[in-house]
Amino acid sequence: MNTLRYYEFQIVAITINTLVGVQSLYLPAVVTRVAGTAAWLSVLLSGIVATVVLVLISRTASSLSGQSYISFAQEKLGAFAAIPVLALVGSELLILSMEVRIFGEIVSATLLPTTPLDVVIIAMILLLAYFSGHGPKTFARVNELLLIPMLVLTIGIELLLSSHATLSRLKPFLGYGPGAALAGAAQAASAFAGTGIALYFMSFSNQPDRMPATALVVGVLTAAVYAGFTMTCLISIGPSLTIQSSWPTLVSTTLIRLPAVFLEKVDSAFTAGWLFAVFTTAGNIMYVITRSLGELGGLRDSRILVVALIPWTFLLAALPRNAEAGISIITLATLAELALAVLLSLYLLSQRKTTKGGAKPERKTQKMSAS
Amino acid sequence: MLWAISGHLDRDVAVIKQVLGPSSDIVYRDFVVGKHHPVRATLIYVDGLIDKLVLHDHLLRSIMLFGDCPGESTPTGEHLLEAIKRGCLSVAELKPATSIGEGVHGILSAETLLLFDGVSQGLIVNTKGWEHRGISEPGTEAVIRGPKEGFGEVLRVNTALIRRRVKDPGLRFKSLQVGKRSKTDLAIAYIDGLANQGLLDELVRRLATVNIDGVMDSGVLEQLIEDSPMSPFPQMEVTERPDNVAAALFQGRLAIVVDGTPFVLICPSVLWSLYNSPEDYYQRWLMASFVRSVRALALFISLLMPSIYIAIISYHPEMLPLRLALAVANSRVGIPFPAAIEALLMEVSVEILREAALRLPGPIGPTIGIVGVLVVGDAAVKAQLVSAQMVVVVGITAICSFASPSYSAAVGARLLRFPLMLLASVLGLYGVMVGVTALAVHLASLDSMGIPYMAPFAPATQRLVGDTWIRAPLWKLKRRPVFYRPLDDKAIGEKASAWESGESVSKTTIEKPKKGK
Repeated sequence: MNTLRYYEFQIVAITINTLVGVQSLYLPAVVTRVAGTAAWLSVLLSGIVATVVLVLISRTASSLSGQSYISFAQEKLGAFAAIPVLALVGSELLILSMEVRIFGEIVSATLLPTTPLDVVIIAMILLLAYFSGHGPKTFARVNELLLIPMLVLTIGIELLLSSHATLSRLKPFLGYGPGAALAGAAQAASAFAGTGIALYFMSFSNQPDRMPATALVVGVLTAAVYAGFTMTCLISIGPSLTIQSSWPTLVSTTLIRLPAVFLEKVDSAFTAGWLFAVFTTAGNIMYVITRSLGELGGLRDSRILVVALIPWTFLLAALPRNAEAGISIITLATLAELALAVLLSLYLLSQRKTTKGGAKPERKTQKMSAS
Repeated sequence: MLWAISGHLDRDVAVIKQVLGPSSDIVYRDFVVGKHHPVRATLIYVDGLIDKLVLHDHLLRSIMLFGDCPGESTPTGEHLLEAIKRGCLSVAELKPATSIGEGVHGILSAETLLLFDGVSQGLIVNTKGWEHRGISEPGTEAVIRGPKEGFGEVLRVNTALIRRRVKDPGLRFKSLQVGKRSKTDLAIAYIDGLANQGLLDELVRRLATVNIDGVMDSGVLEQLIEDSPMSPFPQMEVTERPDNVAAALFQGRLAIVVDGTPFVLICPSVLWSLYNSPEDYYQRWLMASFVRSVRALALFISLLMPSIYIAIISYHPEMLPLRLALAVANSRVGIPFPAAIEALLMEVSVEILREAALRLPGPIGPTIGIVGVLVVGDAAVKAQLVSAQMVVVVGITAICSFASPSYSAAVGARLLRFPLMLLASVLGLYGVMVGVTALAVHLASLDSMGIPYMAPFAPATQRLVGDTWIRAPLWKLKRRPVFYRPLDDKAIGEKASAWESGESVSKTTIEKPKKGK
């Protein structure tokens, strides 16, 4: 069980790193196909919903003040606690596998066309297993370390593409209409894959009373990142090319020319660099899955579960016929994860209130941190 | 060896002879004290480890002349020992020995054991003195600006060099001995009231668990007490410079000075401290920040350049501008090896050259280096074994690896270059990023004496980022690095220097010349 406390910046880093992943590379195409030029609005709408879910999760987690949601659920439901926890873990495992598969497809298509897809996927899974085998200190520190390069890459790409921006490409404002924009929001749900794992790590915050506000900021920031990528694609390469491409963000980066730098094309470098984002998303999910299962099974050391998870992740990642199928699965898995996280959060919150008479989150700030 | 000294001189000396064996460097000198009532005595010491002048003039002569005055009788038993201690020996340090073990330990520690017949205690007299290297410029940490003194091999000389720079009354040296057989002396230096007691206790605990035959250098200790000995990254700073140790002590850190080596360990250490040079604080902050940035760039180049080159040449040539791509392709025409093998060959050759240049006698080493780089490199290009670009890449990488102020940190980067090259040759840029990410995970998992190795970045400590790859002006560095957990984190007062707010001397004391005079 996690006995450390994460401080606020670590929670911010873990949450953003979990939410921003491979979706940035395909989301503009998937949403634009449904919502047209209003795709960025759909992403924002989806982001608002995800932010609400994240705030709800943070309230639940902070009310537990140091106790994991799994142990609290076990207290309340006994052996039946395994059912919702396993359902949530199952959806997260699907998200993890699809994250790895989709990025594997991208790498195979853009960086390593002659290398078998399996090799790319296995390399990523082994890296994730190496990360998940470490303790909570490393979990938090890695997220802190990799947040900055990921944000720099995001902002850098969007700034470099701004010179290719044609704002008139955003017309008509509502794309295929308000209904399509709403449908696009459902399609954009996969952008917030992994939200459910916040239920696990947010309960170990050293400032539980600040968690809802933190969740709000993180949710808005993540929605802004995805909306930014979507809008950048729309205004730089246009809606039609965005729809036609599988990975529109990468297509838009091909526009970037850096004459002063020895690298002429930066799309390959961007794909490789985006590994940080995908790694932290998938790594955080794998870490939480192994810890959740370990806690459910009463294991003191969850590392054995990391090894056990490797073949399962690979098998699930190999399941979809292609990347499109992978995107469909991750979207469904995310919707399931969000629904499960909401139901579980509401149940735990109600139980917490009845147990402690509406106990408020602990106000006292604990000094201990995951340092 | 716990036998007590019996007071029967012959028996005690026989026991010591049995313990130390027939060793030619151990001297047993029998003599008598006093003429009227002579008492037999024996001096035992290791030839070569003691100061003969002290032995002859302040020990042997003094004792032999003791009790010579007419009418005075030589005291016996414990009175003799007390009388000699009080009124005879003109040596500063002496202590009693009650057991044979203590006596033998004293002899082997370059002290002299004095035994008297009929006295059940011996005297251990500090007569240490042997030939040693003088204070010279550190060989591994040269600076343009800054002190040129370096540590030597003698523990007390090294502690004195530290004491000279730290006149704080809180400076403490805690002495310990490590090594079952070598019994190596060491001293933990720290500033009382600044260094965290928990860190000190932990260090002492770790040192107390060292249980090997010999500690010949601080490097042996480092491997035995660091948090992750399997890591290629050193978790303790190694320095030959007293000013570096003094600066570390001012930060609330601890230093381990080991007898017999000029290399002092500083702990805890974070990654960035290994890439900082003491010189950074002796020059203007802008220059220091620039140099540090260059050093960080050099680290990245030395770690990643060959692997990125392999990845781009083998998998992603489209990333290069057309002219450069054509130039590279042209230079590779006729090269029989793939880029990965070519790079591996060159890197291994450079490592061999580097090792050979180190081991060869002084003047020949650099010559071999030049011959290797210029002649062999040129010949390899002409023979179309390697491309000219590869020589450039490997050359730049080798130069960059020398930019690190810490030799042990540079070795880590040198080692990691090879797995990264392997990953690049199999998975291109994707492989390089997989390697870099794994490296980030590894670095984040490291601790030095329980202090996060990647501090102040992970965990983030905002106010100290100003002393990492940039060096903020000295007056801005008001706090000691909090991640070392000093007891007092205030490094400077309200202002680092307050001359601007004071009244100028020129206005107050220098009178303007009066007109007409």
